[in-house]
Amino acid sequence: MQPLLQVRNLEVCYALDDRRQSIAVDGLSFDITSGEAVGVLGESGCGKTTLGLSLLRLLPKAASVLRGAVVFQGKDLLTLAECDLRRVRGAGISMVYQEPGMALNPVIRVGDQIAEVLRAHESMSWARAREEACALLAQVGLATVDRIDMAYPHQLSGGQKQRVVIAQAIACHPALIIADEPTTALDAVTQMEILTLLKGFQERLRLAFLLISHNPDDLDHFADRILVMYAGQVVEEGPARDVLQSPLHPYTRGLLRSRPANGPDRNRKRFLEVIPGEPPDLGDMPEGCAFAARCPDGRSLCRTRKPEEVWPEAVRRVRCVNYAH
Amino acid sequence: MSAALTMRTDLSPTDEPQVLLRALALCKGYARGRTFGRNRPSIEVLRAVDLKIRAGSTLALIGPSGSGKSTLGRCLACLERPDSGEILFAGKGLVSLTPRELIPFRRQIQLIFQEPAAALNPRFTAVEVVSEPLLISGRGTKKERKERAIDLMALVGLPAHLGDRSPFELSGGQRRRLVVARALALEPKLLILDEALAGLDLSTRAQISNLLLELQKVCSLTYLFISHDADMVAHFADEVAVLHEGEIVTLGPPRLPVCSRSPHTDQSPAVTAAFSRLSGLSRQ
Amino acid sequence: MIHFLAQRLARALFVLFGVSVLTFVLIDLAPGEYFQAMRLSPQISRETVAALRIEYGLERPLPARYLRWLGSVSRGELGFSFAYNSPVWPLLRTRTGNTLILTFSALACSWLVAIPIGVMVASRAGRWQDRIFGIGTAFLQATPDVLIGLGVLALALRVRWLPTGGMYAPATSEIEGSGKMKDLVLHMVLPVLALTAGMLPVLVRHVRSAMLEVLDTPFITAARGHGIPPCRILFGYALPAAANPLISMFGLSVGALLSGSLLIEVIMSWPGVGPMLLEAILQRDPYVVVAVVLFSTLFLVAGSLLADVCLYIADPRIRVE
Repeated sequence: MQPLLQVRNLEVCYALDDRRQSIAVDGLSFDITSGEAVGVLGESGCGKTTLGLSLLRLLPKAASVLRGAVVFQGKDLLTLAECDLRRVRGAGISMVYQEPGMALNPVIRVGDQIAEVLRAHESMSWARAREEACALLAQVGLATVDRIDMAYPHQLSGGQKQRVVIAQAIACHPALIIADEPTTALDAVTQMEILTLLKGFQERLRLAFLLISHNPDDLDHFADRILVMYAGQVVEEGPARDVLQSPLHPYTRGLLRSRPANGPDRNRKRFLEVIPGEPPDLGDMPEGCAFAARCPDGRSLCRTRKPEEVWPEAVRRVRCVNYAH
Repeated sequence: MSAALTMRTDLSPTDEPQVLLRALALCKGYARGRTFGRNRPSIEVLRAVDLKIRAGSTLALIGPSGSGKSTLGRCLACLERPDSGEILFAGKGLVSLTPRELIPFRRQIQLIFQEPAAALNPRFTAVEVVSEPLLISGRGTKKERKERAIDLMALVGLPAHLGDRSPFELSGGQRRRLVVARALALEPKLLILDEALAGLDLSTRAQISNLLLELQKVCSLTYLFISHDADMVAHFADEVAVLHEGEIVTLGPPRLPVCSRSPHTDQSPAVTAAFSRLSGLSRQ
Repeated sequence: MIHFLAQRLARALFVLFGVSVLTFVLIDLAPGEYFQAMRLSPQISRETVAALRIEYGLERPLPARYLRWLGSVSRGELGFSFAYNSPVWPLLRTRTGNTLILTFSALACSWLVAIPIGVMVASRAGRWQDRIFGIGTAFLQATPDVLIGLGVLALALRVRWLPTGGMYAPATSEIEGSGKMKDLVLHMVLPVLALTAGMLPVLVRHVRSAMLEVLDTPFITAARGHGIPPCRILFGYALPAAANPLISMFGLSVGALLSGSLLIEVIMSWPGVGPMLLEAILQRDPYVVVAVVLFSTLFLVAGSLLADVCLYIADPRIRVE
């Protein structure tokens, strides 16, 4: 079956000034099939937000796509004309952003903002669009709040705002939703609620998801497959359970170990295992493997040669010389 | 004054030793502006909050957004005055002191915020940021202040060559460390960490968490850890207080995480019940 | 809302009162007096001048004169003009009307032109359209209003079909209805053009910067991400969010236009309050000056009040529940 989304060799860079540039996404390739939830795990500076924005060509002016293809339902989004791309945005692929308050227009009522999305893709009157907006608000669990469609964003809590954004995202029945850290700005209880909501939509509406997060726990319950990103590249990929329980790449292992272990036998207030040092500056990448300086399993050739992708199992790939034969 | 005296007589000889900070019946509300000279009814943020923190330990304060955690943190840091109640720091009542009398206590209680970018003056260098508290309290010569700043930076794991950089040339983790160094400049006894580990990547969070644990031992610090991150709270704290709509709902040791999403956990029933009530969710 | 309005009105009255006192005092402090010119003429004796001064109340102390003037205001006369030998209000009535016609038209014109231009250059920031308009507006802004007025006048002399001054052609008393209207509009073209040219650079710059700030925000990226067409984003999404500083600017532009219009009226012989004010200042006709200044202040305050009300309606964030 043809995958819903195919990304091939995507390369995106940011111009730092007239001469230098930093490669935020370095030759990324992956697929998403219909109804599948793919998680992208990575920390700040690894390029995951750039990845999300570049799929819909929403990058800021300082960034540019150097090469690659993003094929969605048979069409390459990177070369599509602007008006055709507009039809895909919101209706084929939607985005949910990290800061819900920032994604909503502060001077327009939330009901109207949802209606706006509906009217952009289907010709309908304002009255009908507003009715549908109310129905969508009910679907995301906001029906019980009195006349919430008449509220302005600043009158809502973080969780409510994020639900509104999700309502906008599902309004035109997209096939894929890109969620960029949708719960990071929310408190723990609301995080759970939002993820449950999204998972519900994935199952009921057969939506595919690309969930970008720095928190493995979010992806644990949510994703079918996980890609781990570091310094603009995919360093590991595999089924979610496998990646989280038996990670292959040293970075993934280090990342997962730096969480406090909260089992009944844990030793509280001990020092956590950390990955020493900091991620590399994307404008000044070292020769060889980007993780070599911090890697506990590093070998001498890691500093001189960039590792290739290998497939130790049919469904798992990893970018590390330790697995190359 | 009489309130403080009453409190002292309440302390029996067998009471827990070394209670560094004790809050008693703290109330705080915010007025909502005036209509033709009359104050509109205020919003009560804190309602008769009681808590105590033992010296050298970590008390975590958790609760949903809007429960008043940050307000409580600011009251305890003497940045705001509570409407009523008392705060005892090492036995001395703080609420009735004048601002001038409060100065030596303010130095002993430092507050670290979540967003270091907002707390750092972009026009200072890193060394200036760390030595600013010393400058304000008039300690030492310029040279001494600079040396102390570099020592503090080393204590938090920042190499000396970063001293001349602007805070915005540093990474997020390094900025966090800088804020901690600044907080340590006046040798405080109590650090109030208001969501200080929030918004960090996992590996940076682990590094800062380790740093804070180490500093607690080395500098004999006491922490009030305000957070909504259940895993870190369970890992970090000796005791957990749950704040809901301005009142302390539960207070107890964090035997196990609160509302954590890891599948391998049991729950401390009282704490879970409190959280479930707070959120209206039932546990899956 | 009522509370809000009541507060603003109270403040407005206070401002008017304060301005009237200040103007009174300043005019009094200014050297010279209406009857001074008369004293120079050898044909008029000192006693006559003194008697005239007593008759017109100039002998009384300042507070007494002020109170007397307040009484006159309450009767609707707004003081007395020595030069015209009549209460001030009937003199001002038609003239204020003429000034308001000019000012309102210029206000509407400048904003209706500034907003589309500002939005357009903001959406093409950094490109050639932006640069060209940037140079144009900088040039206009650097040119003094007097020069703009004179330049427009010179243009009129070349282009024969626009009248070069006045409000109506001398023969209009015989024409009625639409012909008169057409004549009025023709006469208005040049002064409105001059006023608009003076206001435009500042307005365009403000619209541009307000729009740029909004276009950078995440919610505009989110709107693009939803597939909303760019025109709709610019005018239906970005502009409302950028309206906050622009509405305040609107209030200020009312005042700015009024002061600019006084100058243009003098240059283009438009029978508004401008020429009257100039004349009154030169002749030291104090009550006319106070009345005109007060009229300007009233207009300014009204514009500011209107802006406040619009802001209250337009921006939900400033409404305190």
